[in-house]
Amino acid sequence: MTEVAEESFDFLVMIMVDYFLGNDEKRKKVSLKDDLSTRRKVERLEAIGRDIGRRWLEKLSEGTPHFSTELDKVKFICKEFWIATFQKQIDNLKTNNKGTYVLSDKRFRSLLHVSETPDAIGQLEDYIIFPLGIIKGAFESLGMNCEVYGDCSSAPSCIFTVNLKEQE
Amino acid sequence: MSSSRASTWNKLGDAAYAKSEKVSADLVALTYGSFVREIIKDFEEPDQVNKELEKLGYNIGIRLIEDFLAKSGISNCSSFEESAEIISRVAFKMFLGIRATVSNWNSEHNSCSIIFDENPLAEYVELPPEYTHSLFYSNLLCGVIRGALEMVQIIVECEFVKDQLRGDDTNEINIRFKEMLQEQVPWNDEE
Repeated sequence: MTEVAEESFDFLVMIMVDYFLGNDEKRKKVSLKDDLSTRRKVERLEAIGRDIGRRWLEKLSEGTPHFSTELDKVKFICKEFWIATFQKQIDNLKTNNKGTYVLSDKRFRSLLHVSETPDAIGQLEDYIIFPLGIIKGAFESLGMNCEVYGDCSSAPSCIFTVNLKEQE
Repeated sequence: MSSSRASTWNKLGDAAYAKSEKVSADLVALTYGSFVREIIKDFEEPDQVNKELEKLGYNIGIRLIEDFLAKSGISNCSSFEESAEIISRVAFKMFLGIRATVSNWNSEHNSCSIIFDENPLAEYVELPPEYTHSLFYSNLLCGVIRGALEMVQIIVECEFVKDQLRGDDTNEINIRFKEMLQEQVPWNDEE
C-alpha cells in the first residue's frame, strides 16, 4: 500500500470542512445547531464521511476472515480500522452488552491540531462531523446500523458512543 | 542547477517523508475523489470546477508553507528557479511521497514545468467521458503551489498541461513566474 504524509490528509479534510461548513469566520457567526441550512451542510459533510467510511472499510477488510461475533466486528473497527484511519488504536472499549459501545481515544487525530489552536476551540465539533461519518460508515459496512455520537469536551481526547439500531 | 544542491534537496525530501506519520494513499484518493464529486455536483461546469479546486488548493498552500518550512529544513530560497526545484524534490516527496522533476524551462527562465508520473490523488479514478477533456481532476495541486509560493513573496500562475486521466503520457503542471513581492519577510523555521 503506498503512503502519503498524514499532513496531506489533514489539509484535505481541513478544506473540506471549510468548503461544506464555511470558513472559520462564517462559522463563528452561526451556531450549527440553530440554523437549518447549516444543519443540512453538516448532514452533507457527514454523509460524505459515511460513504468514504463504507468503502474504506470494505477495502481494509478484504481478505479478513468472516467475523463470527458482533464483538469481533467492533474490535476490528477499534484496531485495524482505527489505525489505518486515525494512526492509532482505540484506548478503551466498553459495552453494556445491549448494543451500546463506548470507544475512547485519548488523542483523537482529527482534534490534535485544532485543540492546539485556542481560536478554534469553539469549532471543535465541526472537526468531528466528517470523522463521525467515516466511523458510522465503517460500522454500516459491517452490517451494523448505528448512531454515533462524539464527545470532544476534553479534546484532543474524544469519546464515541455507538448505539446499534438492531442486533444482527 | 548544481547536482550537489539537487542531491541535498533530494535528501531533505526523503528525510522529511521518512520522518512524517503516514496515511494510506488509498484513503486520501478515496476522500479526494468523493470531494471532487461533490464539487462537480455544486458547480457542474468543468471550468468552474477547475477554478474551485484551484481556489481550495490555494487555501491549503497558504497554510501548508509553514509546516513545510518547519519540517523540511529548507531555510531560504533565492530564486524562482530554486523554488521550482524545491517544490519538486522536497515538497512533492514530503507530502505525497513522490518525486517530481522540473523541466521545459523557457528561454527567459520565467516558466517551467513540474512533471510527475505517479499521482496519489488520482489513483483508481476514471473520468466520465463528458469531463475527460475539460476537467483537471488534480487542479487542487496548482492552487497549493500558487498559495505556498505567495507566502514566500513569489507570485506565480500554475496550470495543468498534461494529465494522465486525459490519456496523456505523464502529469505536467506549468508554472509561470509573475513577480517577486518587495517586502521580504525573512524565512523563519524556528517559531
